[in-house]
Amino acid sequence: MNENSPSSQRIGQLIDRLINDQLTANEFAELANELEHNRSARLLYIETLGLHADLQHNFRHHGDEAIKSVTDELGSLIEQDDAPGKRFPRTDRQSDLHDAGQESNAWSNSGIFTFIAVSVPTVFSIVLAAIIIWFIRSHDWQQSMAGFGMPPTARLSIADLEEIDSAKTAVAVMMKDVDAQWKSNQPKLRIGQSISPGVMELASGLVQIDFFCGATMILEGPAKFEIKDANTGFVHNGKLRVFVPERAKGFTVVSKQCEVIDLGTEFAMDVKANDDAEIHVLDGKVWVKDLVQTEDEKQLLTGGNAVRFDNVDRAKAIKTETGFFVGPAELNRRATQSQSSGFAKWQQTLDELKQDPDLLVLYSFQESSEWDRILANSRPQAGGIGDGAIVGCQWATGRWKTKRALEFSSASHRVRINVPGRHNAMTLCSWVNLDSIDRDMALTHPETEQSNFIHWTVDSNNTGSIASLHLAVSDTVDGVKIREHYNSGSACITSEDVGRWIHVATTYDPDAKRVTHYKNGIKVGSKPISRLQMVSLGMADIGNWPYKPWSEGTEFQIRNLRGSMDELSAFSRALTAEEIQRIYEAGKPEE
Amino acid sequence: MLGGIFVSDSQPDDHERFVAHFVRHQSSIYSFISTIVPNSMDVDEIMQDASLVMWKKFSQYSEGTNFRNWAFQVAKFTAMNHIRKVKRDRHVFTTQLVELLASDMETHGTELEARRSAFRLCVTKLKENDRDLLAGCYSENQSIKQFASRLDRTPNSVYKQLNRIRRDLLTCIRSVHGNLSPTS
Repeated sequence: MNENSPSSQRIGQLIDRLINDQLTANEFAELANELEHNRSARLLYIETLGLHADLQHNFRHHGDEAIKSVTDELGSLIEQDDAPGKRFPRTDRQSDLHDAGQESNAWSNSGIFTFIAVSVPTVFSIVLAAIIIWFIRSHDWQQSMAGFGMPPTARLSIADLEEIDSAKTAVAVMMKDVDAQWKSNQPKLRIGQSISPGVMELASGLVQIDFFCGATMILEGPAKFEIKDANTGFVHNGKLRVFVPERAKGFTVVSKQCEVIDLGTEFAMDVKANDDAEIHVLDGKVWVKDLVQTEDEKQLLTGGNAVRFDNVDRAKAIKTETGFFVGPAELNRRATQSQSSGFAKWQQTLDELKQDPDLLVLYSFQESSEWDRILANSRPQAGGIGDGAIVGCQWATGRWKTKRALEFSSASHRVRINVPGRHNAMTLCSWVNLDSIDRDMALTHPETEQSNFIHWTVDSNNTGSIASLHLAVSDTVDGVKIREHYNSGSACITSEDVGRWIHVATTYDPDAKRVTHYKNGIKVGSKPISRLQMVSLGMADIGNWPYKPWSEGTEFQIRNLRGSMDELSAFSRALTAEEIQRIYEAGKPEE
Repeated sequence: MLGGIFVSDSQPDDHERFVAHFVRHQSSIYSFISTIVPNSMDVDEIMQDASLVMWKKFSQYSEGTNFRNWAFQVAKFTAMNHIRKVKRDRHVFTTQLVELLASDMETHGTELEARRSAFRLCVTKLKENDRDLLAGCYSENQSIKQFASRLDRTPNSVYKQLNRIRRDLLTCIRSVHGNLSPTS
């Protein structure tokens, strides 16, 4: 088709009119007909519409060159090497953005959406946000940010897909939580959880919420805050500090007294229970509108200024007090503090456990060297008995930054132990973080050539969404092997638990004649003991099954633990429910 | 680079692979949808739906095969679904035309991608006046009519300028890559 022929000019004109939304019904029919029968016309159309789409992509950020160039760099980095899982070196991109007049460093490090927000146009952010949300949920977010090393992936289950569906209505995500106590009338919001419009009431503590529009807010309890949509919030009472980057300009916080529209970059608000409101602009500028004396003009408030609204004064200038509002640096500091206090508390509990006369083994997984291949038994005076030999597992981070854990990620990984002695009763406890629950996994698995042994496993129903705890006790009577099974019943461990540190415990109680299973300090199942016997750990593997040739090709072959473990203990008595709950409470990591 | 999402020590993870593929091809996918459903109101919604479906069905994609073409297929079906719903209220293309356009875009996929880099370069060559107009017209928050009245111009004169700018951009892109040729 000749570029300048009347028909190609006509096509070009129709295409322009289509893009500009000027086509009449007849013209549309003419264009569609031409496109259907003329390949050259189609190619011109594709070329032009492609250009139009690129223009939309390009200019939706109000022509922000800095953001565009980041997208380009990301795009070219990916083009360089399409191999998945490639490690991208961290450069000082944040400072480049800062020079271009964008986010300050403190805030860049605190929001995952800084990454998504600058590299992906708004409409896609919702989709990627849903994916990232799922990703965050199945890994400990703080852990990931601390080490930049991602634990092996968790499998996507039906429940997770539903979460992605519901993420379509979400407008924000919970990013950080420091000692947050939520009012009893609402479920606790977890890190990584997507948030739809609605009210949240914080009794105390701090949370950081990232809005999909790009704004980030730190809310300090006591506070009652209502998310209206992706760009607007209503504060009933409480203290908040908001960072609004260029792309989220127009982010609005409303209170009874006034409305604040942020034009970039940072402001704080304090609303008291009696509706008195203070607005402090830390950086940039905001519009402040009086909602009570509505005839008043809206005011422009700039960095370093603050105003107060109450029954006496309207927009009265007051002194700014930035230290009064917790910012990202302070939030991180408090988070670290609260983290280390959890670890300290745990160490104390461990010392108490060591004093228990019925303690058989206590693996604290706190070995100091990367090269440590011995998992020490911390029971006092153990003298090396019960020490484990680590095969293949890698050292990783446990429940806290300073806590170590062993990562089990392949069919060869295991810790070989030998805990001799037969006992009337037993309790097994462990803190584990599972990558998935779609296969049976060994917590402890015995050498089955022995005459008396136990299996302690997580049994899957193979859908990947629920699993149970299982204790099997075996004995040899007159040369005949007998085995009794005690399962917790289904739905004991769910996909919600995957990627999180959970406490599992099982007791064999000859007095009550019951085997009881616990998760996170709560009883999840119990079975009566039909035939009492002695129980022993003996020669066993943690996290794996001593391989037997006959198992090759059967479902029994692969039973290795996939995940991490950072504590395991065994006692020669059945601990009570209270004791187990106390152990859980003392060792649970901050969410 | 920003953030830790793409940093991985261990086996390639599904979500990481998906995000890597998706971010790399999102412009092409968006372009694809805009071309077969020319009404801009619908494109965002289809893009969102199609992207979610791509994520849900990611296990059906074979690593090593052409992700863009696989994504185009998903986008095509999502778009056709959408077309069925809205065809009473808008001008829509017939199924035949959609198939023809989809097939052409698949055939010329790599070429279209290459033209995008030229596009970025050509935009920088535009006069500042023209760039400002594009920014105003393509910004999310206002229609062309609103923009025109703010500049105290008629919508028609703005459209004329837009058409001319797009032609200039096309000329610039073609000077690097030539026309989209029927023989390729």
